[in-house]
Amino acid sequence: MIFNFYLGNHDSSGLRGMADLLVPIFNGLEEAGHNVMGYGLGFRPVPAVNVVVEFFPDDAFVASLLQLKASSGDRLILGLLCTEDLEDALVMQDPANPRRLANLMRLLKAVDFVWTLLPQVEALESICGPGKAALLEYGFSPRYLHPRLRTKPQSRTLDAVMYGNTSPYRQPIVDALAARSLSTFVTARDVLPMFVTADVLSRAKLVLDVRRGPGVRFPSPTRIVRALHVGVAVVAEDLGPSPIASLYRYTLACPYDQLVERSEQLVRSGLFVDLGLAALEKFRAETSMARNVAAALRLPVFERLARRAV
Amino acid sequence: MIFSFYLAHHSKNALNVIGDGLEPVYRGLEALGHDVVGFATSLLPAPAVNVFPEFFEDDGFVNSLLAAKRAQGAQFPLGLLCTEDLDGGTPAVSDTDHQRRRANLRRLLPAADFVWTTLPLVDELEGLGGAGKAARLDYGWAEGCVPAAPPITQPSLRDMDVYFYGSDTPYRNTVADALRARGLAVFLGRQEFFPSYAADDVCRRSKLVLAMRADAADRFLPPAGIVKALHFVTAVVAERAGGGAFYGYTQATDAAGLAQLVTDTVRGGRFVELGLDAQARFRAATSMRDTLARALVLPALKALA
Repeated sequence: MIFNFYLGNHDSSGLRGMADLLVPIFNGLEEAGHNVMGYGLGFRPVPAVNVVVEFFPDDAFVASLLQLKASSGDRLILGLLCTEDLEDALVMQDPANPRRLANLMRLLKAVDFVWTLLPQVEALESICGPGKAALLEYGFSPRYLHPRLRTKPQSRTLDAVMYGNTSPYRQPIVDALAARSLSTFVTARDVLPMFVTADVLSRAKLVLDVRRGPGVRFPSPTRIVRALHVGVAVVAEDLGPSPIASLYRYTLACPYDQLVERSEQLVRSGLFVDLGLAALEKFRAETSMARNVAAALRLPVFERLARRAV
Repeated sequence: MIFSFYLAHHSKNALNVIGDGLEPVYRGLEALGHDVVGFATSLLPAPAVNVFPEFFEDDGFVNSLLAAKRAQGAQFPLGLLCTEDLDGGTPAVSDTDHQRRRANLRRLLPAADFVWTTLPLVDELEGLGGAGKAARLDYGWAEGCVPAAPPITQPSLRDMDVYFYGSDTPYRNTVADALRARGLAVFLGRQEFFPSYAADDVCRRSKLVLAMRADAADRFLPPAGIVKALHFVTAVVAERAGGGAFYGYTQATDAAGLAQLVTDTVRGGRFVELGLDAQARFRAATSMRDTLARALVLPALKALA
């Protein structure tokens, strides 16, 4: 199948912030034998599958998309990739984008399928209909593997990388690490290009996976998976059981109030390279992005498309 | 040696633009066995080498660099990487939006230990900075720049006709408009806007990359877009201008002939073969590793080694 990702509803900063979200999916689809148009310049008719990444602050864009789908019917396969928690008020009720959630609700009723990175298939299907939503889990992708893993401890010159933008919830961790003489580089996902983040991550002793704020319910698959592919140990804030909590198996997970202590222990132990590379090997052995993508394609709409191709 | 590239004086848009020009340099150094810090978070003392890609519009930043160099001397190895024409049109060192850019470069050149340039400007730079300080970095093949995804060799999956490399300028737009008038799909690269994963995707799916100067007043054709296309197995149509080390790997003509040559190349249907052939020849004849080895024989770098 041909998967055409339409990203024209995102501005430049938004596009930059999605690199580590989208690239593994592109890779997984191609590793599973499909063709990907990663930056589609329009919508394509069946048998191509159009995927729009959720962010719909603009009523007019949504209206035109709904109209296109209504007029095209089965000749246009339209799917959504939902990356955020529907119940995350920090995102879905952001005053800067007051129409985001309402427009998502309008679109969900019209699309052919929904992929979600977070465990909310039931919530989504209650809106879009049964058999339309699938959890898209991240796994190991050979193409996503950093080609120059740093295996010498002395080449890991940054103590910690706080992966994600700064926030009042994350800053105390950075400050506490600084008080213990540990340097922390905070990435700005909407600013730094991939060649920069790849360099910074590869030189880190550890990556911190800390949620933006206390309302966030799930771990960030994209942060954890990017760090694993660079061979860097992840110290993750443990947010408790969830269907994607299996990712914690590849991290040093602990509660928020233990993150600083755990990070310092790891840095001072000198074992950060060994642990990072061991986590990568375990992740490589136990997971596969291609398999996970194949699982997300077990929806009726894709089965119909596959039959049609035969 | 450790080469530490300091990029914090570049804006977020500029950071998005310079990756294509920097990565071959990083990979060439690594192929020689050196360690590269691609995004330095601090200045490093000798024997590490600090490299600053040129863009010095801020007097305060340059003052602090000059003060650090005066205070630390040989303990602060300082190199510049110049990728723009000192006397070109837009957008270049003389860009009126960045009035202090050229003046600050001229202040820094005498203080720098060495200068690398991706354009044929060695004599001019040595005239400003001192003899024996400048070396040309001719881009070449770097295995580390080959994308992880294999090239698209099925012509029907090359759905974009033309990937117009570089920023949006009136000079380039004239040709883009002419191509659209001929019914061709043209993607304007606008690297300051599109992140690399999107640009790389379009480059991979394009029938050809069009490489043009930004302005008729520019003396040289920027090489980064051509080199990227060659690593991506995408054919290149290039404007024939100065600094033409890469024309042998492109279909080249002057600006007036570009629309016709692009149209013929797209409609001729042999674009995948052209891309494959150009890459094979580029790979066989050039080496970023060798380029960097030549650039490291400058006295300041030999002394550090």
